[in-house]
Order: sequence, then C-alpha cells, then structure tokens
Amino acid sequence: MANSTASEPGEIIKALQSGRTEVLEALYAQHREDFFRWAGRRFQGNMGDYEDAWQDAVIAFYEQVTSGRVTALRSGLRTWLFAVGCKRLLQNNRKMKRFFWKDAVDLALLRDAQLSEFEWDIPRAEEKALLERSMGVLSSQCREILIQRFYEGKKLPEIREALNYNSENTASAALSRCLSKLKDIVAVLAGNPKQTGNGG
Amino acid sequence: MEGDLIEGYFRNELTPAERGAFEQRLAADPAFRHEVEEHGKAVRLVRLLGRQALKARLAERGRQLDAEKARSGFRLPWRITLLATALLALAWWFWDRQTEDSSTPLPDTEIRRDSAETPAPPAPGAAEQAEPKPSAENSPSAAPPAAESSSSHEQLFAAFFRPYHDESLEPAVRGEGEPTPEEQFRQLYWEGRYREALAVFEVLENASKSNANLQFLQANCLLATGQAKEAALALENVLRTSRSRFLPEAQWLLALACLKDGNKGKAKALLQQMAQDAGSPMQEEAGDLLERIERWLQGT
Repeated sequence: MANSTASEPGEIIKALQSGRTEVLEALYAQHREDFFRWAGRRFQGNMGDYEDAWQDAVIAFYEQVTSGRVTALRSGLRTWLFAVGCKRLLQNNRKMKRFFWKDAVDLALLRDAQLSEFEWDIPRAEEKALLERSMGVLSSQCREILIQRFYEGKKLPEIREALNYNSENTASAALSRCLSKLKDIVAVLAGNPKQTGNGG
Repeated sequence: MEGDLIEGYFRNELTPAERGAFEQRLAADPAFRHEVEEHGKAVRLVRLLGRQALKARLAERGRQLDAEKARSGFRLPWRITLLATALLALAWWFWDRQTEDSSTPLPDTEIRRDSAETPAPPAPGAAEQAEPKPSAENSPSAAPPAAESSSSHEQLFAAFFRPYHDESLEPAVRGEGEPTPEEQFRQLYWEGRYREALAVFEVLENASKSNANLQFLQANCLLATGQAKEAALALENVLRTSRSRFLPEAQWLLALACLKDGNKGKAKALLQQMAQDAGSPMQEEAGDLLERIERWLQGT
C-alpha cells in the first residue's frame, strides 16, 4: 500500500493528479527493496545503479501522470515501475551484464505499448550545463514557484496557498517575474542576452 | 494574455481554432516565434529542475529507509525470538536431566548453548544450518581438555554462524517451463539444502557464477557444509567486486570463515572494523563475537 488513503493504482494516479506528491514517496518506499532484489537477479549492477534506476522509474511515473500521458495502467503498477526501471538500467549501463529471465515485466515490455514506447527524455549536455549554471543564479523562492507551476502543474490558487502568498495576483506577479528572470538567464547563458532586462 | 496563450500551447490546452491561429502566427512572426522558443527552453529547464528536486527528495527517503534497515539489522521478529528462547530453554532442560549424573564440567556455557545439540533457529532453512553436524568428539562435554583450544574457535563459529536468510531470497513462481539452474540453486538454498545447492552452483553459467549476490549465497552454502577456506575465497571476491547487496553480511561471514579456519588475527581485524562502524548492521554482533574471542584467548 502506498499509504492508507491511496493504495490502488487508480487512487494513486488521482492523488498525484491532485498534487499529493507525498503519495509518490510512499510508492517509492513500498516497492524499493523488491525492485533491488528483482534487479539484482536480472543485472550485475551495484546498489547505486539500482537506486538510480528506481528513482527514475518513480519520477517517470509521476511525470507521465501529471502530464496526462498516463491516466490508467494496462499493466499493474509494480510491473509498470519495474519495466521502466529495467529500461533505465539498460539505458544507463549498456554494458551491464544481465541474466536472461522471463517474467511479468518482460511480457509487459513486449505487450504493453504504454511501456514499450516509453522513452526517458535524457537532458542534452547543454541543458545540463544550463541547469547547473542557472541553479546558482535563480533564487530558491523563484525555483520553488516555477517548479510548482511548470513541473507539478499547480494552478495559481494552489500555489498561493502552498507558498503563502497574500493573493493570487501576488502569486501571479511573482511567477511572471521569476519566469522572466529565468528566460533572461537562459538567454545570457546561451550567449544571446535580451535587450530589455526584467527585474527579479 | 500572451504568456497564457504560449503556456496553453505548450500544455496542449488550446482549442483547435486557437491552435491554428497560434501556429499561423508562429510561421509569420519571427519575433513571436523567438519568444515561444525562449519560453519553451525556460519551461524545459524548470521541468529538469523539478525532476532534480524530486530525485533529491527520493534519495533522502532512500537514505532514511537504509538507516532504518541498518538499525534493525539481523534482528528477528519478536515471535521468532520468543519461540527460539523457549526451544532453547526446553533443550537445556532435557540436556540437564540427561547429564545430571555426569560430573564433567562444561568449559563455557554460552558456547554450549549454541552448539550443534541446540535446536536450530526457526528461520527458514536454518534447521540445516549445521549440515556438517559437529561430531560427538567435538562436542564440549566429550572433548578432551587438550583439544579444547582448537575446538573453541569451531564452537564460537557454531554459536554465531547462521546461513543468511531473509524474505527477499524466497523464490517467486515465475517464468515458464523448467526452472533454470539459477532458479534451482536459489530454491535449494531457500530450502536449506546446501550441499545440493553447491552441486547446482557448479553447473551455473559463468555469468551467474560471477554474480556477487549468488557468490554470497554460495559462500553461505560452503560455510554450512564446513568448507571455510573456500567460503573465505568466495567472500573475498564478493567484497573485492563491491557489486553485491550483501556487503556488510559478506564481511561478517568472512570473519566467521576466518575464525572457523583458525585465522584468528584476520577474524579479529574484520570484526574490529565492523564493531567500530556505526553504519554496519553487524556492529552489535561483531562486538559480541570479539568479546567472546578475547575471553576465549585469555582463557587459553
């Protein structure tokens, strides 16, 4: 069970759609050991490899749900996560030794288009560099409001409440200011500064 | 607002008419196209930032889970502990009745408690943990005084060694057709049939044989069948490659293998390392065994 109020895949998806990210941590903890055991039988990797793949699998599930690409699962939730974790292990460690085995995860990867077509979008090198450099320039408040809006998909009333803004207008102004600042940073770091600056 | 329109476009929330108009403007207006591209880059960056933050949160949760697991270590559920204690008490009572006429003193009651005559812990497969049952000549009450020193390290080993078992090792029903040799090996290990498991291990493919997790189980089988030297070699390999989820347990077993093999120095060094490592799930056991080794060495 992911937690006492969201145990079924449908409930977990609904909870994530409504912004309850704590459900995700419960899901991560629920199957983590099981995934390590499973991966340990399938791949000759180390705990770091398995942990990384498992985190990515859980994040992929979250991103697929919040972007609306996944609204229901054809395979079980555990199978879905293991299959994505398996893909991540293969993607991260192309030379990793693996043991041939056949189980529900392999079948799901073969038969479930949702899984077979899933691709983890790996950031490009320049995006990674931009990410690192912008981290040091953007304030933590700006990062938080931007993440809530554009990653977690929260609407202004939810952001206002979560970040304790006086009004939705204040939250909206802060969001615009931070987005504008980020665009400036991107432009400057990409060597294409804007002519008109924006405050932040 | 233009910002909302651009955001709606990226979120795929525009109506077909709005989208058509948006795309027409994109094609016709280079400044607008540039603005949309900049917005797209910024939002993509935020998504990567969000992913990074979420990954950090999950990693933190993982560290918490590992710390909780380390704290619980090898501890058995209280019901099993209670049952084991009751069985030990019963065994003691029977043994005491049978030997009450004998005046032979026992060298170390703590060691005797865990000797081969003691019922095995009730963990799955543990009933066969002492598959190579120590012979009567090696039992504390029958051992001649001169042999006490050489047999004590065996007794300490017997007191502390228990083939590794946790629920993760339980073979799941999976796949189709005949079980593979690796599945057979895992099944036999789970059932505590260590000699048979070793025979199957020998026919595994090289890739499986070099899997550090399987090598760890093989080492358990070797120790359970009295092959301490071979077990030590396998465990050293597991520790050298660092590609196993059983690294702390492998270090502990290596110490036990060295102890059984009479290599007290190495056993002590390994145990000291574990006893000083607050993060090791074997810290408590290591300290306990070290103390007993010291007591034994002082007594000889």
